[in-house]
Amino acid sequence: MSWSAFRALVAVTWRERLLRPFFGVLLVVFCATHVSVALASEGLHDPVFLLVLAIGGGSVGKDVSSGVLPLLFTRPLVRTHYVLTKWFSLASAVAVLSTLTLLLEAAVLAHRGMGLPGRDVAAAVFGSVSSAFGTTSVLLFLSVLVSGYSDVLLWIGLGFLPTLAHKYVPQRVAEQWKMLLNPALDWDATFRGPSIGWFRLFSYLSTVTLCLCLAALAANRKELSYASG
Amino acid sequence: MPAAIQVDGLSKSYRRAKTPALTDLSVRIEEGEIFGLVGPNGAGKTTFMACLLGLLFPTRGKILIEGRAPDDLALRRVTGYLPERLQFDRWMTGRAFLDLHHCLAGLPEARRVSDVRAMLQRVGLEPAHWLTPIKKYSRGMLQRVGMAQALLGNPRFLFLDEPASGVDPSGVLAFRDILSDLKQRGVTIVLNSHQLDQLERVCDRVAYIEAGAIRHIENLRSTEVGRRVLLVRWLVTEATPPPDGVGGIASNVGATALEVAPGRARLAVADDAQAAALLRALSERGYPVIEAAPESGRLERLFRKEDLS
Repeated sequence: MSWSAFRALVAVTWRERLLRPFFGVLLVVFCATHVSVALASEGLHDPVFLLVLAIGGGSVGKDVSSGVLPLLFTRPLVRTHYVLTKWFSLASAVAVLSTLTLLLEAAVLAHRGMGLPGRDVAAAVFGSVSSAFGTTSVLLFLSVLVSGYSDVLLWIGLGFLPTLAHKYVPQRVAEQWKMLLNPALDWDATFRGPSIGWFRLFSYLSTVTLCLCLAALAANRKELSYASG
Repeated sequence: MPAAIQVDGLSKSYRRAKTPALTDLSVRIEEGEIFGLVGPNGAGKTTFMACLLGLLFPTRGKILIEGRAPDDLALRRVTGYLPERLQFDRWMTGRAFLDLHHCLAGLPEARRVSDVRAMLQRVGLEPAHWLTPIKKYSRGMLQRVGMAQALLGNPRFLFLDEPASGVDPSGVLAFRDILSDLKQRGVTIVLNSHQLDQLERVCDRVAYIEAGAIRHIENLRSTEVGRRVLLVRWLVTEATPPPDGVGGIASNVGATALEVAPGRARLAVADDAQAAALLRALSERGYPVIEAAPESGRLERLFRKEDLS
């Protein structure tokens, strides 16, 4: 994909998700609420979880259900590139917003005399950004499989599985399942312990890579038509 | 000489459907040809077009366009598509939508503004609407902007699904002019439409598709026309014999009189030679023929099952 096409797709995705009036107002209200919660709890409150669901949901599925995708795929566009561009644009949007919210929270807390060490703020931002790219990759894979915003419902449903089957699922498996659905890096656990947490790091990277590969595979096998739909 | 589009034994079945959408469909479309598709709703026309575009994968059979698979990226650089159900990013303006597709088509950025402007003018979308969000467009305006995106980059293959649907008469004329211009430039066009008169005017050949199979291909450039019903009118004067004699004259040349009234008759003929013989015989027997026209168009007859062989 050309640099120009990449930029165009990222810009369209950002505009569609962030700059529409209704969505924009909702995001401002959401971030303001988070800052208030941070003030009340006297600590940083990571907004990434809800931002991922609000912005990262329906990444490909919405384009399928709205009928935009068949027209896009008649262009000289490698489907894998399209999927990866979608992931990057949505994850980066979530990452930027969550970072800004966290920095705002830190600034407001500092203004009220409850300042946090810079290292803690950096760790929170790093965790939030890694979670943005990680969880968006999982949602992207689900979004290629189902249409509309069903990926969000599917993701929430899958998250409840270990709770529903807690009698049969060992605690360790439930934790891994949670990490699979919400891959994120903990700055302290991964890099600042007595030794680097290689398992966490590779677990995160392998989950994200696997989800992106599966999303690309599913997109390449996907049939699209106004007749079939 | 290789065909522009070669389809061999194409079959397509959907997973949950009881019957296949396309069955053993074969056709050869030449370069520069305008090839029409007609048929009842659900006949498989849109499925066929989606297979040609590489959006659906054939269950069996093969499609080659210029010797390449339909999803070949090099082929997509020279392909334009106008879908039947126009679903765009509705928050975009018409111009932004074309900018995006100009970019995705891999066309030079330096030419973007001039190309987009030229294309919007070509399809007759008024400049006042260029910066209007697509969600505020009428059906006709949507078709125009859709046609404009399909024409970006001067494609050599064009797939048009109901291009003039919802377009006003001036738009229909503009689209017909565009198709004539594309034809002169040697663009190969596959055109799916229910507007039979429009197809008759622009197409070289038209395939009648029914239940997923091509039942008949009508060559509209051929002067040979088969079985049809003629509406014949003759001048009635004091010297004109009574209409009762028309039936006998028709029988003598092998034609059939379906309905006869003073000064007019509906006559079924088998071919051009029989039509010529009938009209000559009517004139010779004292019926001064002033008009003879087919009761229905050539494509209309396909739907009436008059010409299916």
